Amino acid sequence: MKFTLKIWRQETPQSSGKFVSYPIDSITGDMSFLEMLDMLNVELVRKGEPAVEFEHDCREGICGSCSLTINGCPHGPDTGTATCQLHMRRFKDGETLYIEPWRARAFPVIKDLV
Amino acid sequence: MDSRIPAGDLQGKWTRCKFENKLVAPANRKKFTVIVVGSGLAGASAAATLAEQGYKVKVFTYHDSPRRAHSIAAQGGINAAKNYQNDGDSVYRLFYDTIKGGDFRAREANVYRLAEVSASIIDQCVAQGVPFAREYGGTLTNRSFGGAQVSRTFYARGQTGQQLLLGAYSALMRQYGLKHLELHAREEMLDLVVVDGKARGIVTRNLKTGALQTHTADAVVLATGGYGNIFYLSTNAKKSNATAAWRAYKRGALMANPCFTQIHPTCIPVTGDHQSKLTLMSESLRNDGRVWVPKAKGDKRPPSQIPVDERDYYLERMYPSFGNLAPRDIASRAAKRVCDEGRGVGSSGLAVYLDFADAIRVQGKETIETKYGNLFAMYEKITDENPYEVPMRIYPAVHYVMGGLWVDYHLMSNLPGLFVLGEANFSDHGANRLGASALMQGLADGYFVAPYTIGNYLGGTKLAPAPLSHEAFAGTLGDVKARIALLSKNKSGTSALEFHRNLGKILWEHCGMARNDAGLKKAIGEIKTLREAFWEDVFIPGSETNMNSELELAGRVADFMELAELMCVDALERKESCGGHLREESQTPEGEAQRDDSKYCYVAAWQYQGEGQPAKMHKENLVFENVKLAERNYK
Repeated sequence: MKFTLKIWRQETPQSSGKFVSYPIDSITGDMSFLEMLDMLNVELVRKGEPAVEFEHDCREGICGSCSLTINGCPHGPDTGTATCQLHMRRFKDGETLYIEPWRARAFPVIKDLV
Repeated sequence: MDSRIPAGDLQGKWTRCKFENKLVAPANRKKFTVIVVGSGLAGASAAATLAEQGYKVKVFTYHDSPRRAHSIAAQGGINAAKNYQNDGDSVYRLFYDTIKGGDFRAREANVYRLAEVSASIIDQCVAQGVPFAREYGGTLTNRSFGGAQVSRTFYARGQTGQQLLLGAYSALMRQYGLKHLELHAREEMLDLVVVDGKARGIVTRNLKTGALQTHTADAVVLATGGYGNIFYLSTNAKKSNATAAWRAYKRGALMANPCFTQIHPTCIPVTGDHQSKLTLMSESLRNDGRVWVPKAKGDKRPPSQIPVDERDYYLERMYPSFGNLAPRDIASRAAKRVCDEGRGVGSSGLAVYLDFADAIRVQGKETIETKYGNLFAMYEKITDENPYEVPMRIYPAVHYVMGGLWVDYHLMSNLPGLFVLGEANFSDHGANRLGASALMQGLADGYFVAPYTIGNYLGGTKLAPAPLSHEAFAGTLGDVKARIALLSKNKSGTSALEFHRNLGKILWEHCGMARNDAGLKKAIGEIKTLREAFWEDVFIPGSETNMNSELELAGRVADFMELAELMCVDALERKESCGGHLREESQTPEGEAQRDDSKYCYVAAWQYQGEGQPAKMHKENLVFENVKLAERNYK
């Protein structure tokens, strides 16, 4: 599967952020959303670009670390599902995905998607 | 290396130890500061209890909140010798099962104490409001776990760890609210400060700003979990790491039995190279699920089309008295064996079935849903298959490490003032941990052991002031800075993640469920080569003075690279099969693991000897005065 990712990049809490577009290829339906971001980051580091910061830990849907607002929905399209338990088979090949931090005054953005 | 096991009969050891302990009077406790690193079950329970007692406590976690700690992911339950089922359980039986389950490689005295305090843990947690499962009439209920023939496991659906952690976290935050403790979130320990041979502080990095800080204390508690994530693919959280423990090792603390890792039999199988994590399906499922593979090699029919008489329910066949509830190490090894024979299922052939069809037929779908609903939902999310209709596919995966920093009976390292609790220490599970015993140990250490033994240390030790101006703090801070500079030196290259993945492959291949001399030697060579490549080529984009998870990961992977070698060295030295590990040179004629008590009935505690020097092994001989060393028989 192929996707166009529009990811919110913001260097510090004070700086202003913007969406940056990243095409991504060779995604399989079995991959979790976060594994897709892992893959993107490995590619970015190889190209010498800063990796996308995102929060995650247990990757089994219980710790509550992973956040992300995907296409405007907090933690993606499924209810009761942490982003780490969201798999790419849930999306259509060729789709454009908007990925941004959850915006709330009580939780200011620290960096990128965190 | 003095294990400080109290003299006298087994049953009275802990009582006598507590009585003989030095005390600190309530009014004097506020004069002592204790640093607690880690906020999982062991850390949070220790911090809350020490603060309640009146000590000044500083808690550090690299998470944004203490309640993210990986204890939260524990599913199945917590053991306690309450004998509520009146089925013959007792403190002695829990003690015996744990010693036997650990393949006779744990200390009798520690394990007995663990069994002894287990009942208090349940009372403590019920008082906190932890919602353990109950019978219709309101009494607490139990289920069975592997390696036991009684039902002693208390649980809260498949989310026991989460509920226990919320209990410990509430206790912790109550102390925070009372201003009895400081909480440092998003602050990672990067080194231990040793002053005059005693642990007196830590160096941390603020993960939001990159700022490095030193902290002083009278005692340091590491409750930093296990290092199973060294295998890259494991059921551990992605941030779980060995850094705190490894830094302590490099400052002189002994590392015990590092090769003892637990491979859990029931995890969702690997689907491809992209995979970052293996997900556990709780052992409790083996209460009702039946494990099988086809009798014939290479049988690719869907499971529903394989008639019952062409299925091999191999655990029931090989271990009739424990059946599907054989201990983890035995169940894992049996799964590996049938897959190696070519009878594995699924596209990779590296899986076996865990089938609920019989349980659903007998008990009804609703009952099964009540017991395991969240686990079934999780399985379906990940695999896109409905386990109510088709059997689950499972395969063993790294889950836990029994190895860890060496501690004495007081849970203190050979470095005075350094206490190590929970999975981070090596103490209670020998060469294999029984299910539902990790939660028990974490909370036993934190609520009921360390608060006594740390008091004894503080009350009985002359501690000179160790101000932050002491040269040891500046020196250690300098070491941390130099290390970050070294990690950041490359201007281009590869993400630490790729090195981590490759390291995991080497370890899984040669230092996993089955090991042999040639493979381990090969692994040590490969790890050295990979480590050199890592320092040549690891690239960390971004800045040191900002949030930078590539930098965090690279530091952890660098430590994994060193620990991996010690694991292989330890495994190479232990030429017996033991617990989860089959040493291929040491098998019975039937292919069962062969332990060698005459040569290996000891704890291997490794001491750091300097960069590039081989670690030195110290042996703590294990003495069994109450339990007879016997072959582990689950047939």
